[in-house]
Amino acid sequence: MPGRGEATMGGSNPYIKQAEIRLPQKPYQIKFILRETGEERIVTVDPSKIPYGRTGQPGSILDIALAHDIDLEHTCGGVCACSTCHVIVRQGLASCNEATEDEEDQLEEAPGLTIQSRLGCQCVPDGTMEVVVEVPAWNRNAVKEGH
Amino acid sequence: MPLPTQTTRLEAIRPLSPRVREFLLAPPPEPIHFLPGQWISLQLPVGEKPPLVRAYSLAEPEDPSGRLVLALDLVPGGLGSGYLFSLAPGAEITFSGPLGNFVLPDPLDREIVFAARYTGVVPVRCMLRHLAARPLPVPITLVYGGPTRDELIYHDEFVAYAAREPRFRYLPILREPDPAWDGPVGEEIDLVRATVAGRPRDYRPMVVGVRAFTQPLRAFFREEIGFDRREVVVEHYD
Repeated sequence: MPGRGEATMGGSNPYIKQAEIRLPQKPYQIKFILRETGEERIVTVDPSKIPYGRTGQPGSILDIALAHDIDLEHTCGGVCACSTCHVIVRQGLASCNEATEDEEDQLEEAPGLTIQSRLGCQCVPDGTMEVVVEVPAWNRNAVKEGH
Repeated sequence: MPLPTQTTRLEAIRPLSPRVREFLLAPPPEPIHFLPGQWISLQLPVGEKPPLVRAYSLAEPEDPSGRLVLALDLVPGGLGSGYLFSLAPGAEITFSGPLGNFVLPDPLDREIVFAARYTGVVPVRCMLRHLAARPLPVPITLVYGGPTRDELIYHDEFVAYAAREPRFRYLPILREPDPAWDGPVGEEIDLVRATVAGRPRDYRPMVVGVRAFTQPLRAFFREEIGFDRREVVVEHYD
């Protein structure tokens, strides 16, 4: 949409609840389990490199995955407007920011939803725990086709 | 197995305002079928690790010709919009989709109150173009905020539609005073509040824009008006 992903008319408003995001202060590791291929990858997150790119919340699992050539679908461009970057945080979920209602809305559309499910573009670990992330095999049902 | 992509060409560019342009895409090899309000996902050959994936709403409903129309603003420093605004007709565009859940309720059996900010109005415009083919089955209200009069894209079209469709109510507002504007000035949320105050929850709120806009509106409809979370349809793009 509208230069999705790139805010143009911000403004402060008392209704806004900023999701609390704490960025890591020291290096930590994320293990990615890629269900599609069975591959496992361990990456070390360097706090000084956050944001790695310009997609997803800075320091998000998506931001980290893309920087390390881990193919995590993100058709909306990492702005919490679809569910294709659905991941399951098997370990370290307590070290991540809480999901917002916007994220919950999108997650409800994700196939194979679990209580540890998050959107990769919105889930930001704070580096205080090791994190294990499962990337489910991609599922066409993530996409609501036209009529 | 990623979502299938295909490549088409940019056919034409139409300026809507100093910062917003429509991008007309040639019919793609595989025709796509979409609902008004949906978007496509572009894979752009820019950024440190191309492709850069960016999503843009379709501004025109599905057309027998198969052409696709996007509308987006040039964001200062924005990689995606900066690239698209640099293109000339003939350029290749690779995309996947359609995607998105910000679509008209089915069945359309009660009033919709849209609240849109700036280019957030693009998917709403697509829905209105679709609905305008026949008399509206339900009342539709659009509260639409823009930064300046000349950035209030599709304004003339909405004015004309409201003049001929008695069930369409168009309520534009600018966030800042503008010499070229004699309409309301202020926060969209205040206009939304004044519009729905005191009435029963017999309508569906649909809110679209940046999060700084959609989050307060969602909170308003839930906390002040009493809607459940799922009853408030929200789309944001940042």
